[in-house]
Amino acid sequence: MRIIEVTVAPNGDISVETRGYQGSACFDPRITALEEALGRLGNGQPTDEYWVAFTQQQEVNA
Amino acid sequence: MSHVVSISVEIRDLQALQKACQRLGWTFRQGQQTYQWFGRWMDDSPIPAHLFTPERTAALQAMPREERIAAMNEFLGHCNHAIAIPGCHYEVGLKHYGDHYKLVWDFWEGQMNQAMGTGGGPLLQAYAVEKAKLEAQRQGLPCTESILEDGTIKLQLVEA
Repeated sequence: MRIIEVTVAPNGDISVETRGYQGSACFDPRITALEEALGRLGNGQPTDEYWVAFTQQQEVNA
Repeated sequence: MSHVVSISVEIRDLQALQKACQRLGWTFRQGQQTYQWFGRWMDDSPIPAHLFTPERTAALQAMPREERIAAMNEFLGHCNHAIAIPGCHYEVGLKHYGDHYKLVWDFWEGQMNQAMGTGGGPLLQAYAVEKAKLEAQRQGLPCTESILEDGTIKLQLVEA
């Protein structure tokens, strides 16, 4: 299951976290559309899940 | 990629803003060109820098007092849309800047100050939630909402 979690603080600050999106799903245009629709994007950080997928990909390529 | 992104909310969608107002029990007045405020810049508080470019802010600060008062009186009170809040005589104005709107209101009225909080937080939060829900609906993603103890609102959009 893939989940997009949008958290909105009382002051209006937003954070968007995705879970379960791996590999080619990393550039899912629907997530980008959601993020851009909400406002001005700040810094993005890959989650641990991303690094697991990345490491697995590296092992496959090795 | 699973990731976390921080976003500064920008008001661009009037439908979402209307829904935000309904959520708060406020009234969105689309196309209203003026908003209620004290009506005269008293020059006893800082220039609201978020409404101007840094250059314009600096220019306003450097002006002789009477000239600055005249400039601020001309600028304030005019808007593209407005919001009325129950129990408040003053209103919130929305001024169009490029692809988004900025909020302007007179914080001197106590009720207004309470409703809008610091920096318009309640309205910005309601807008962000409604905008995310509209976007989820547009994308056909089921969305659930929960409110945390500290007032934070969480939306979960689930893709099966």
